[in-house]
Amino acid sequence: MWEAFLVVAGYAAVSLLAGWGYFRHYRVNKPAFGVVGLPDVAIMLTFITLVPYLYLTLPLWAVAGLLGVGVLSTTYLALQPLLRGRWAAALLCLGLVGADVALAVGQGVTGTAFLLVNDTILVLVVVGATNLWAQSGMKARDAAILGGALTVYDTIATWQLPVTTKLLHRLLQLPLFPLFAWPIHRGTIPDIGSAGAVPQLLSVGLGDIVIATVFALTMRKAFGRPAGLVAVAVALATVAGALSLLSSGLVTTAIPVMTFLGPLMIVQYAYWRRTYHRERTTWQYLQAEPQPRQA
Amino acid sequence: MLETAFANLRFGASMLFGVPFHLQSLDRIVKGMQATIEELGALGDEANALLGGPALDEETRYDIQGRRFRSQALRAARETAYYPEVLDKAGIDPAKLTYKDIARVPVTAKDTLRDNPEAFVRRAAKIATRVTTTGTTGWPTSVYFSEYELHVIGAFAAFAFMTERTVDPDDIVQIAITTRATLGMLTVTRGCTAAGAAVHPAGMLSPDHTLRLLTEKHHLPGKKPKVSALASYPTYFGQLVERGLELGYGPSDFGLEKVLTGGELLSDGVRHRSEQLFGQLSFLQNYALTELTPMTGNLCPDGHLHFEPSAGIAEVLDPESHQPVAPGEPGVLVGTVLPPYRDTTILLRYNTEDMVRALSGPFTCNLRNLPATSHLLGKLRLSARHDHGWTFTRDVLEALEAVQAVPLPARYGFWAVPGGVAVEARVRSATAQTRRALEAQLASRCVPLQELRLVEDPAELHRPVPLRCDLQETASHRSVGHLPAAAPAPVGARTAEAGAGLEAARST
Repeated sequence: MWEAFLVVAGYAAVSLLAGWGYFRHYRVNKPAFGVVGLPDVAIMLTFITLVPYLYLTLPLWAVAGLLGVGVLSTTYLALQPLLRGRWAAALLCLGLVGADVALAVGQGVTGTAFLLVNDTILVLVVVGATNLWAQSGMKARDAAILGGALTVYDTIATWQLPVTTKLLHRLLQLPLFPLFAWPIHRGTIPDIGSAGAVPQLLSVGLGDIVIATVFALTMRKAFGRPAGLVAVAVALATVAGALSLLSSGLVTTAIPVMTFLGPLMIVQYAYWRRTYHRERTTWQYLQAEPQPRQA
Repeated sequence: MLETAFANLRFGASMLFGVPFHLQSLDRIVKGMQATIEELGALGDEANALLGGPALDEETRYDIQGRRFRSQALRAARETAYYPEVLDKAGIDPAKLTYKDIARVPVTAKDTLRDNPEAFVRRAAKIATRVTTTGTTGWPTSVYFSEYELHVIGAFAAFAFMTERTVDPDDIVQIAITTRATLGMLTVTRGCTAAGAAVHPAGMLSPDHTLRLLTEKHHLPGKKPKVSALASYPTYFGQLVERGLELGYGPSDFGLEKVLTGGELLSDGVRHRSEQLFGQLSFLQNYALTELTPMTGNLCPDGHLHFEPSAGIAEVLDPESHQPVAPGEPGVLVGTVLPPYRDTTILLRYNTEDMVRALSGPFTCNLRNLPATSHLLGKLRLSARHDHGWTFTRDVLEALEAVQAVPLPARYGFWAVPGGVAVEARVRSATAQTRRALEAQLASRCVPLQELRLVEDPAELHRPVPLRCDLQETASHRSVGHLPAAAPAPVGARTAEAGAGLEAARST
């Protein structure tokens, strides 16, 4: 039970901290102009709301394809500055995705080898996606608004509607599923792809970690290191809290993390905004805290 | 960001396929660039490439330009009064034109456009504005533009100023060109405001007035304390230098950092001599002609004029035969603006009468992927063809303005005589030393000097080259009395009375 908690919470922490470290040391290859703003947040929210229905409607191979494209592009984005070469980054991405698919086919999506590789890939996805948004000028205000809106969405989609549960069951048949997960070694759940059963998984959604990480990065940029660290700590505490309730068996239904994290993001933003009166721009942040190394 | 990305895709479609620009997409791109500069401090390195499109190999360029020229020629044949007869006489079916056939299309003379500008206006055009040239070399030429074209011109000016960092958000820009230069005012104003700078379209007032404006201290939030960028014609800038030194100004009186020039030739002499008054300045030059706007020539660090192939076709032709000249040889610049940049006044192979030298690549500068010519040599009408070849305005101007004895701007004339050229020039004092200095400079520029006439009064010049600085505008005499106090003159310097600096505007 605690093994699952430690692995999943550990991966969540690694994602947050990797995103943080990457933000300080590397520049992603982003478009020459264009800034992430509220219209983009609105588009993201629309996407987040509609994609589950799309995934539930499309055939599995199409869903797998979409997941593959998303994972490949974000991991490539994250790796390219690290490896200083397009081909090296591309080969590593393809290798990781290939390994993920091969292990899913060979061992099944609840095998530990598959989950290790999948969780590692998701760390890169978090790093790539969050740094693209944060380095493209996303404001902490917009990240807080996104978090607040997702509070409403996550609560309804998880507790009021069956869509999240159905989506999870569907995605758990595929490689590259967007969950940091580990077998909980307690009971089984029906294997949707067969007549048998598979170990139950303790998991936290990729999306929750992405939102938590991008909020921490934008808070760092906007209000400085203390604000960013508080955001990291609050996010980790919230995720760990939810995971401990699930892993201990005290709660057996899905917990929408954003229901709790979203309001905490808004409170944090309001506090730091009141303290500093305005957010720094990315340029002001880099002037005040120059990057130790440019990619 | 996503909106900007979609706008960029739409923009790319126009660049690639020649479909009309989507104006809201252009505005979206400008806003995206502004937001990027505000948030991130600067645009990404690839901004220029993103807007200019990929580097084209010669074959692809010919194909794209050929198709666009055909499209423009079809419009000209079907919708203008001038071109149907011209194309018919030349035996050209515009629907079948390829790039290779462009050379068969007769060159459109400057005089033809000047004498009947409305014959070049498309019948389906939605005309918004009539723009005239300054007319320094003759009666002004009129060109008509639509609102669409003006919007595109403004947007491209904004792109250029932001990608090239012509000005920065903390700059204060003073525009000291004639206010009748509609497109010049539009492009500089739009470009500077898009880049976040503060703009003062002051016009071309008396040098005394302009100098005082340049020394004014400002207390504007986020802006430099004095005017930091000046948009000006080279001759007017020369007047400022000359007058400023007379009045005893020095570098510490000004905050000027950069000068945006165009419309005339800028000599090295003016650049060097301006350091005495303003200190170190950076000069930004480009080539723009009302008739060919928004097709412009961008000056690279190697001194080439590069032309964006999707905007237009630039050719260098022999002034008489209108045949292409060999690399290194001088010729007139002939330009055709292609769709979707122009849709009102259609000009096919328009003879600018600006002389340049043809160049062949490969180039090694930062604009190496764009076709190029040499820097401008001068107007054809003002050039002298003689037994030894050509002498251009630039040859004479560079020689004259390198000599301190020639007041700025140089007032001069030159023409062909047997064996070479005769040159006349205004100097401070027609001494033997001045004469020797000028002869040496002219010789260093390979000018085959046969006669040199020096005058101290510019009114004594026989055939002076017209200068844009003579297009000055008036300010009321009363306003001069309210100007801030002039810089104190050092002992021995001549000073001007407050009202004496005003001159009546003269336009040719």
